[in-house]
Amino acid sequence: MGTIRNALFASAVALVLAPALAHAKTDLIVGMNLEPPNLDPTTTAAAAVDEVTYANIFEGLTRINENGEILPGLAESWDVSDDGLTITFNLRQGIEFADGSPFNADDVVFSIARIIGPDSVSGKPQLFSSIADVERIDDNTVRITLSEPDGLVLFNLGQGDGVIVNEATIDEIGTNPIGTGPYMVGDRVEGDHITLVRNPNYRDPAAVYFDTVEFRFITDSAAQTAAMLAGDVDVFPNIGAPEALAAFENDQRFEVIVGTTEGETVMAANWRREPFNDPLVRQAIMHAIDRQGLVDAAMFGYGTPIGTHFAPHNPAYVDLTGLYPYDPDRARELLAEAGYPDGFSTTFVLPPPAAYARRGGEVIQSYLAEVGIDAELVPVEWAQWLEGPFRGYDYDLTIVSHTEPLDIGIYALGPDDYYFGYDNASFNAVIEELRGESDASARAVQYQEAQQIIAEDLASIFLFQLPQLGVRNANVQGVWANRPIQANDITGAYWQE
Amino acid sequence: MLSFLARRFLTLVGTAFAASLVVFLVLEVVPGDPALLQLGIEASQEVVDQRRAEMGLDRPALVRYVDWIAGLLTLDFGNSFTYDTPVGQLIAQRLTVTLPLTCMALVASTLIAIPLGMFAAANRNRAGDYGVMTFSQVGVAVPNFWFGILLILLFAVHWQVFDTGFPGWDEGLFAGLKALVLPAAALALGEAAILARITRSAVLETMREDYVRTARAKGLSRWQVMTRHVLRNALIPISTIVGLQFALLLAGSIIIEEVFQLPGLGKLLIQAIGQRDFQVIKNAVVLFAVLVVLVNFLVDALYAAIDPRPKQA
Repeated sequence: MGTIRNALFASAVALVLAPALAHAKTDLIVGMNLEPPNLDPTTTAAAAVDEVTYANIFEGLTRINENGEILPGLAESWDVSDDGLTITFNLRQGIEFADGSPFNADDVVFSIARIIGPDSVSGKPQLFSSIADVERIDDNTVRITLSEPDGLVLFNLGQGDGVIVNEATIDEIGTNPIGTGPYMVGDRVEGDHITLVRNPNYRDPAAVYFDTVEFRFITDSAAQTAAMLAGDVDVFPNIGAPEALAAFENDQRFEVIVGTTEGETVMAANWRREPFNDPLVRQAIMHAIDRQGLVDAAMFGYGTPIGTHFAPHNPAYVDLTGLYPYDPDRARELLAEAGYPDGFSTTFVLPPPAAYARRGGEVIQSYLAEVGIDAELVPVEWAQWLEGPFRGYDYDLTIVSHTEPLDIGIYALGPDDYYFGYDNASFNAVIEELRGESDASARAVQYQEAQQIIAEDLASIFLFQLPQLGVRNANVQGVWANRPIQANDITGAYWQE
Repeated sequence: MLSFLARRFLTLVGTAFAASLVVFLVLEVVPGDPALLQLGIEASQEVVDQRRAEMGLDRPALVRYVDWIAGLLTLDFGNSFTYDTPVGQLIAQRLTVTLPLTCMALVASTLIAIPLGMFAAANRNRAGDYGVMTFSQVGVAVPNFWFGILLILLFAVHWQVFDTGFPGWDEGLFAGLKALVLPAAALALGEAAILARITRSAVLETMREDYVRTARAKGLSRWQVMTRHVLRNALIPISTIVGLQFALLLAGSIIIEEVFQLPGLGKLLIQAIGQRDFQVIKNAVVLFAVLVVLVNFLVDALYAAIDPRPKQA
């Protein structure tokens, strides 16, 4: 009797559950650390804006994929002139904005003209500083003229800062952005979430998987973990706290996502100040730090040691970690040679990120103490960090992750314009050559030369490449693991049946 | 009564003015440039200067202060640097979370604490009393943000009977109130613990009064004496504490909203401080001050209802 009742109960349960199982979920909840202040990726530098809008709402002429490759976007193809100074884009046809208005060359001219020149409204005008002019050839063709060849312009046009916007609705782009992507804004509760809904005018309705995609903003790392564990958030592409991952690794409901970012984590040692202007002291500091040990202790093993300012996943990367390897005895010798046989005292300014900066700072402090350098830790807020070390050049040592893609050129900005205080004419010459080079293999050679110079000089104390650490529900597929640009492109995501 | 109201109003204006001056001066000296924070590390100095001008930060401090106060008087709070939307609207929206949260916590803490305190007093130095006092001791000792995390782990992560986060009032009154239950409980615990102790001692104090003995001698039952005479008189000190607790709960909501990730005024304020959104910080701080003064005023008015004596004096 009991068996029959159990069987009946089981089949009843199956009947009730069956429809729910047959239809995969059509909504997705994505967790994010920070809330975007508005939804205009073209005028705002804040990463969170791109993380909501990129590819989901707005698209660019080119499109960057998960691996940082440049693919066709709203332009289906392009031709670069032999001198590298003009690029002609052939636009896709039959595309409409979310409000039903057609997309054509005029929209491209309007969007690009907004972000170039002295009146640029761009949040990152330097990305487009090589573009001198944009003109319409016909409805489906646009030509961009460069003032000098620029090997990065196609990549930069594929970032959130270069997306194509709609002129008619430009005044409300911050709150109700109208783009050509598969989604549009449905609902927003400031301080909590933004929900995207289907764009009814999207060119390929069948390719739009979700009915709604909610971006939920959770700043506190304990609350992030709780929200994932409770099943209230389906995917957290960038969870921020490596210590939280242990809770997910052994839980079958979740998959931990470990990918790459463009973030080189470096400790700047102020070139303007003694004793850091002494190459021997810089070498001593580098020899004092066990980079793998730092990654293990501060990042729970996630992250790749670097010996220069370049992403290890880039094909042009050179592994220079062996140049000044961990060797505390050698560090003490070098310090003595530099005139500091008993070491010295200094200060170490730490910005807010808990894992790499605060915990990393403590680990580095103990490595430095081993060789006699007494570094006093000074934790600060971002506002203070920007004003003190970054703009005021007021620091001895500080640590930060430089997250812009391919930003090795910051070492050529010189002591008047950048906080490093580094100045090397031969490095500047290589960067100058790179700016004018659009041939990929020639660029790779120049990049390698540049990496070598700053590595030997120890322009910064190079530490490790920041990983992208995320968590997803095991059934969510197609989420980006890597972070080549600031984006949460969920256009390829879906629920596994 | 009129002069009482006038005095109270002057206190309100004075407090708001003092708060405005203090917060403005603090923001003047605190390091950090909101324009630079917003534009990020790649921005050129010209772009940063232009943004500062748009924010009105290039004007002298005195002009900015007078301008702000003039705006306050016409209920024009200016625009948030971060969201570029009116601060008044932002704050009003956030209050729809913070005020219900604080009120729920206040009601919960009062409803728990007063019966507990009375029970403890009635059972003085017996097991029930010790039980209540132990609860109170633990409640005072446990930090509310830690208790909040514990509640999340138990009810949202382990048993999953509550969700994390706040769905918004659009999802319905029940869904909204449900999302506030755990945070209100976390907020209420410490206050309930204190209030239970206060209630116990206030009730004990009153029970020693002659009129209580008289009432008992008159033949009223313990219960009748407790509710009609003891509680009513004990309510005077209790209501003072409840009024003060509203201020503490408002302050406590700042951290609790962060723990539970509720889009309330406290979370807005923390975010605004991180981003140096001066417009939001200064107005929110003045609003907190005004709310506290208003509640104290309400408590004073309540005294009059509970105990008519001060009115005649």
